[in-house]
Amino acid sequence: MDQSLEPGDQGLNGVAVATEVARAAPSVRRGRVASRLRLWQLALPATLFLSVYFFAPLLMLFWWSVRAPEGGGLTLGNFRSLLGDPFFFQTLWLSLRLSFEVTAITLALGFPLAYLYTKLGSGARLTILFVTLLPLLTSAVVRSFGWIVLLGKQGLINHGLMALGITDAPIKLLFSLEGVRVALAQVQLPFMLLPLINALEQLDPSLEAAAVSLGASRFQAVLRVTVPLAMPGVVAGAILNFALTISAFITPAMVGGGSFIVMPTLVYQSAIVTLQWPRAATTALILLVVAMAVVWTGTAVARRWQYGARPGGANA
Amino acid sequence: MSGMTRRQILIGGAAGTATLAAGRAWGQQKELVANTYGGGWEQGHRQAIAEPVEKKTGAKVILISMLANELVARVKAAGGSKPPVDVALVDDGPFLTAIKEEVFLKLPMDKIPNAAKLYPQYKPKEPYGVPVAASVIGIAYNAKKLKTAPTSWEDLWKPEYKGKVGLCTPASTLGTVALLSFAKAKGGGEAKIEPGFDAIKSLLPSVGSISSSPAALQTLLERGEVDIAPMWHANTLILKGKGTGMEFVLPKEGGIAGLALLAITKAGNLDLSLAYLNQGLSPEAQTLLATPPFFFGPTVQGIKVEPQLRGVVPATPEDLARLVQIDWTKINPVRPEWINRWNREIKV
Repeated sequence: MDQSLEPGDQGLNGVAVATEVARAAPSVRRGRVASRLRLWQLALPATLFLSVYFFAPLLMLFWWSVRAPEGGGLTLGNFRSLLGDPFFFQTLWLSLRLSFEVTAITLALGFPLAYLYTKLGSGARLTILFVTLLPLLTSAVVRSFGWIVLLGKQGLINHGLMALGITDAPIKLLFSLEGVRVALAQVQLPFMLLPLINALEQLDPSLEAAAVSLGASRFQAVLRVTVPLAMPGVVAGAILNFALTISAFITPAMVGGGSFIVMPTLVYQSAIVTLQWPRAATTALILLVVAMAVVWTGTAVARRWQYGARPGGANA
Repeated sequence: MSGMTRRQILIGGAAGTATLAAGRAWGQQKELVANTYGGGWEQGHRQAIAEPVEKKTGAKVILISMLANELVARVKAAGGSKPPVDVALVDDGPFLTAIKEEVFLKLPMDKIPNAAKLYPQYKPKEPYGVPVAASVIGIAYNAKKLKTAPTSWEDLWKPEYKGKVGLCTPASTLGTVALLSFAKAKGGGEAKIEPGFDAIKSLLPSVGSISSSPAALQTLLERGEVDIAPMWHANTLILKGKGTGMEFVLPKEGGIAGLALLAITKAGNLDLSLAYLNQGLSPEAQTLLATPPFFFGPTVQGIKVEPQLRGVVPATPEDLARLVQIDWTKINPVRPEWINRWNREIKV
């Protein structure tokens, strides 16, 4: 079957080679080493793809950030001018804060929902998934216009509040950090929910029952048994949310308006509006490094909470 | 077994023929890619330029939506390789940047016969593009909600407009022009932007919101989030057409003229691109683009202008003389600094 599929390039087709060699393998040990080698080949297409479309652009980004403007040579001038600028740090801090907050909101909303999901029948499960995934089906631009209609001074929420007599004058919801937080949390909820559901589904329900039978309250059982065991899901969801928020551009620009600046806005302005590419590359690189540092630290801290975790990260 | 083979041969043969045929058709039909700014621009340019060019040349014209700044950045990023468009639509500010970045072709004007009728005042100093539409920045206000009409930039500070004023950041042409206009009204200019920032800061208590693009500002005006703002005439007239009560006035200091130009990128399809430019300047295209719902000011002489546009968009050189021309050669070098400063200092 394999042979008929790939007459041309046996060399690259890991699976086909694996079957062939395994059939002919003279000793088990050699076969095992060879199969590990062949399994590596399975990563080849993805590796090639990532080298061309991810690592090469990343290298170019680095090159742009350190290349001296006129003539040859290297410079740290771009880093120096950005890192010596208090406004840059304010912006970086705002982006980080926004990302932490959105992650916290999605976790606070997502965990109970994911827990509920595991206790429900298939109809209710489908409803939860459908409702949370729905925002992903519209483009960020359309969604943002929706938020303008909802959050505006003449929007649905303010009209409702005023009709109920809760406020006299409209509250400023649009073009504020609050609005951006809510809008981002809405669209990114699925990226928290899905890993959480995945983690919770794998847990044995009798663990909680055992905790309760040993004298824990229901709440204690969830807090001290389920939550730590679901930690891999929490970490995965948090990383996704953090990375998506810190790189979000359209929602902060449209729902936030021009009233505040986040890091992706700075990158866009330098790259597209003013054509200062070295500055854009440097900004993007600093953002990347900071985001990666946060993700690594977060993962390391979260591991300590996990049951069965051993120093050295053997459970990775 | 033999049946399988025969079927495979048949399918293979059919597929091969189809591929060949498709390949030949694709090879024969030439393609031209041009950008517009979307919305009315896309609709207008499709009807007035793309479709007639397709009819005349048999080529396929693909219109993509991309704003001027992004377009210049993308063409620059393409370097020597194939640029994202053959024909570029850009505003006068980014146009000058593009010339400096050497991404446009010097045009053989003798191959664009319709360019002979361009208003001389609109012609760029260097032949890297032809103006296709004249626009004006003035004041948009909602006549249904505001009792008195504004007559000058100074009126934005009136207490009755408090909380209802909209602005755009200088990352857009609109925002840059507004900032400069305020500076000029307070005795500043391209080289002295300080009074502009002072003016914006003193206006902030009246500002309802600051948008990052004219499209977003248009939505806010339509939704009634803000009722008065510096705006392009075309966006305002579109809103007026929707029955929002939006009106457009030229401030007494003078509206600001803005040109959109068509240019040809290097390594593009030259003959087709020239045909596209020539069609854009043809009397029929210019007339169509000057009618509702497009409202673009004509750039060639002898075009009859819609009543709604009279007094708004220059139809004659005298109209043009009443408008303020701004000098993008002076603005472009200092604009990054303006944007940078706005980021830091202007917060609602």
